[in-house]
Amino acid sequence: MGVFVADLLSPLGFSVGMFYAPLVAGAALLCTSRTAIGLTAFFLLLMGAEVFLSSAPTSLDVRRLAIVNRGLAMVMVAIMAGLMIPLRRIRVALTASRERYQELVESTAAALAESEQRFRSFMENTPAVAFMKDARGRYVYANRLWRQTFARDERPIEELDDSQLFPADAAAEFRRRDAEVIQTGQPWQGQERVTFAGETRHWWVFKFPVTNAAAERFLGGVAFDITDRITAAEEIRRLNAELEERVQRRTEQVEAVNKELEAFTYSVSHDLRAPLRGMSGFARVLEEDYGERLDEDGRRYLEIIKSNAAQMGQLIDDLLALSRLGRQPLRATTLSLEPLIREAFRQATADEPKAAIEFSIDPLPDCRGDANLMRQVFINLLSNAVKFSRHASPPRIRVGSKSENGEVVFFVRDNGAGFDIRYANKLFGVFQRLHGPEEFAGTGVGLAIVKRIVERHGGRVWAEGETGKGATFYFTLGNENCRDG
Amino acid sequence: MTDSAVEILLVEDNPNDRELTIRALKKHGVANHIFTVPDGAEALDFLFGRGAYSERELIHRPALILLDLKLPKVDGIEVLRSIKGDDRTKTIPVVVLTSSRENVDVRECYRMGVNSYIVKPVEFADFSETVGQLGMYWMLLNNGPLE
Repeated sequence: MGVFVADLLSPLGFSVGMFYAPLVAGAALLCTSRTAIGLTAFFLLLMGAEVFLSSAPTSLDVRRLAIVNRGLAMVMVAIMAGLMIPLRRIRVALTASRERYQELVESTAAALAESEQRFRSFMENTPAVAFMKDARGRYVYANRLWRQTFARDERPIEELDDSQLFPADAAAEFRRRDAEVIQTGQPWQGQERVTFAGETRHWWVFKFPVTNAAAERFLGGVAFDITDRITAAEEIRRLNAELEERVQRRTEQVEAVNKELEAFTYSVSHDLRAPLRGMSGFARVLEEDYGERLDEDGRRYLEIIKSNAAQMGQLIDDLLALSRLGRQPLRATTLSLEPLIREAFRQATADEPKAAIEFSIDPLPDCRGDANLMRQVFINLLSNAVKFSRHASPPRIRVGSKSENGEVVFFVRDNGAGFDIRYANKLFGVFQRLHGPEEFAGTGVGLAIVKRIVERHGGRVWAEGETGKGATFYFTLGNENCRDG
Repeated sequence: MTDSAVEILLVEDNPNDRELTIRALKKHGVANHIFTVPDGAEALDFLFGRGAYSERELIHRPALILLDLKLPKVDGIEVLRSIKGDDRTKTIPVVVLTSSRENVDVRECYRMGVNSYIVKPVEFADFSETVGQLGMYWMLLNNGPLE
């Protein structure tokens, strides 16, 4: 190059070529490749033309030098173009990739910011208290609800730890638990009682380890205020206890009443019978020892005294049986009804000329019930049937069952005296009688006993009848005791 | 009557029942030597030779005790407990004769080792029959342990 610079003063050749070279280089760097190549070709042609058109120097040597110079200038321009065009391409490629990189960085940052914003918003708006503490117990993050709940002054949370917020023993307890979670890496959940600003609330707290990129451990925590729930549960417990106590008190009262009733029953059982036995006994003594000396009326009066005493005895027995019914527990078993009914019929007709009675039992479904009580039901119903059909010829008694609205209904039917349907509702009351004692004997307790037993089994009892045309007594035992089919 | 001759001790507070019981027993010819006491305290005095009966020789034990349950001072259940709880008296047959049909009483009596539990019927004929029967059973048929 130094050699050609020395020739700058020469009127021919190289200096002109030097003038073209920066132009080509500039074009190659700044314009498109095509423009640079075109410009290069144009200058080469121009310089080629100059070699022939130039006329000024006439000496051969100068002319040769001028041609050589111009040739060198042309080579230089070509080299310039050849070097500069790829250089420019590299530059363009570099620019493009820098731009792409910049774009990438920007979009990544935007995505990060967006993500950060989303998670922050999530944490901030979570309807639970959320926080993060470092291994020393300093808060590194606390969400809005936490700040609303615990950060009542304006200190930044990064300056806070539990000992500044909560009573010393509670803070120590939290610290111990946090350390455990961070150390073991095991999450923990449980109930914490937190007193803050003089108010104690209950929180359900989840604590879990959080690790950052630098493998530093933090404590993450989420907590729900369960004070209302705890209060409600306590209220329920309190109400339950109160209810329990009330039930207890009521039970005691009922037990006291029951005891009283039992004492009363005992007294009735014992004390009311004694004078009756005296009446009956001494009437008999009178009859035995002095009967000879009494006339027919006298003996009849004695009979009346005796039979009244006996009836009162029966009345007391029936009443006691009725009162016992309410107190005995029900012992339900599966019943074989037919043998039970036959036994009841045998007892109901113990004092009757039973040969005359046409008695039949239809096939009956199996049922559950208290055998003793159910026998009593049939004894009472059959006794009634026997008693009231005594004047029919022949007395006919039938026990059967039918299905009514999917319910098994048992019946005991007779062809006896019947009753006036208008008084049907009086049948089952204690001491209710539809016939005078001269017509049919009885204490008026039998059907009341039937009603109580049936109702204790969850069933109902009712009757149909017509004066002079017999009566039918129906009862059910409840669907759980008796299933149709 | 000398107490050595006592065969049946009747513990009964109701004079009517007492009279009827004695009459029924006599009618069945089971006991010519009946001693009656009106309450539980006196029954125990008699059996254990205390109080008014401190002179009594205990070797002469009654062969049967008829015991009412509802008694003044010491009730029948208590008397039964004392009798069955004492070696000197526990082999004497005790028949509880009462108006009470209550299950508690029946259970309690059997738990304490009563020999029979009879509910007094209201009807005198039945009463007489029952008392006579049980007197006969315990006095004549039952073989108690020999002294």
